[in-house]
Amino acid sequence: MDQRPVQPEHTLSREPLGDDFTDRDRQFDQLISRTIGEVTSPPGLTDRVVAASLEELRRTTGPIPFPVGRVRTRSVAAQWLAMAACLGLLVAGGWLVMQSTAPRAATPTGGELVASDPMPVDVTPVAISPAAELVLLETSRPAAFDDLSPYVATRDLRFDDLSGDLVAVLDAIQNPVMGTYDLEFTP
Amino acid sequence: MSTDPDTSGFQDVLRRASAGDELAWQQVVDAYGSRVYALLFSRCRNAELAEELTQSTFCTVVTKLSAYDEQGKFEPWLFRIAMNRLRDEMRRRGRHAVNVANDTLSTMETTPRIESDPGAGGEQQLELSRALREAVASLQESDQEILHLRHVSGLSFKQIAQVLQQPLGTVLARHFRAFKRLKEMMGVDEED
Repeated sequence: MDQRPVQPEHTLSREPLGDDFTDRDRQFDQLISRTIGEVTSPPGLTDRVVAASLEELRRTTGPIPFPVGRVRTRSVAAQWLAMAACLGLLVAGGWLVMQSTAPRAATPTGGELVASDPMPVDVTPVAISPAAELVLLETSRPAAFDDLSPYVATRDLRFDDLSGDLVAVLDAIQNPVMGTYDLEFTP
Repeated sequence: MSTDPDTSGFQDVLRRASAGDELAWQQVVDAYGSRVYALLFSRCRNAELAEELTQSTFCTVVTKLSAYDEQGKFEPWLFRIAMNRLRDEMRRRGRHAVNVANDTLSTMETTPRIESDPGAGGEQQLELSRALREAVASLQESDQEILHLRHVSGLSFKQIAQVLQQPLGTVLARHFRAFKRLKEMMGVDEED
């Protein structure tokens, strides 16, 4: 601390008054300085200020701290247990996938397959008993309904769904610079 | 080690402090801590608040020191931060910086005149000091600021203008007006 400067608070050199002021004014000015200019600081003020601001100084000028990840320490038994659980889940998941994708064997009831082609639908209400409805549900194949999905989608298409794309194609043809569809139109 | 902010020595201290040199920062606080406290105490007349604001001022300064690059303008910058801290606190508390006594002006009626004899009695000097303090406290807030920045902080008129961000001519005119008003209240010119 031998480098700390020594500047008593009462040695402030105040700027003298200009030539517009008289000697009596200067005396009065000095009296003001003596009266309101002498403020005694509480003991230990600078030490407390330094202590309060040093933390800010270190935080401002210090290196940016990298977040250090926590070191996880788990027992070997827990690790083996976790690995076994993962393997079990993997096997169970694989079995479920195989079950859902494998072709079914012939159904015991030998029901007919649903035709994939569109057939005229008989709208005549047919009375089906609950038991027969259950049998139909069990013997029906979901894949057969999937084959009908294009028709369902087609039925929902409207002109608005395609008009935007058509306009874009026309724009691309008339203005190849747009490159919208990467078309090269040569009239 | 010089603490004159205009010298290259002190600029070097500031540079080292901004780079994280704790000893250099301590030199800065040693050089200006008391002056900042004195200014704040003169304005708020509350020792606890003045110290709290002094700490807040230096905490602000240390965080912005790396961005400070105005050579020779450290003092105006520092005291402007202190004044802003005080204004913010007073605004938060909803009152003026200085408590002006209601009977200040009435006491002026019995103010003893400034005597040319420096060997006046101690009691009379105390009375004179008290009267002068009250006279200063009765001035306008803006005029008190100039007097405190000049006589308490020891700033030059140019630096005061920088602190208050006003033209130098305005500061000089306001100081002249405040000085004249003080002389009138203290009866300085009446003997001439």
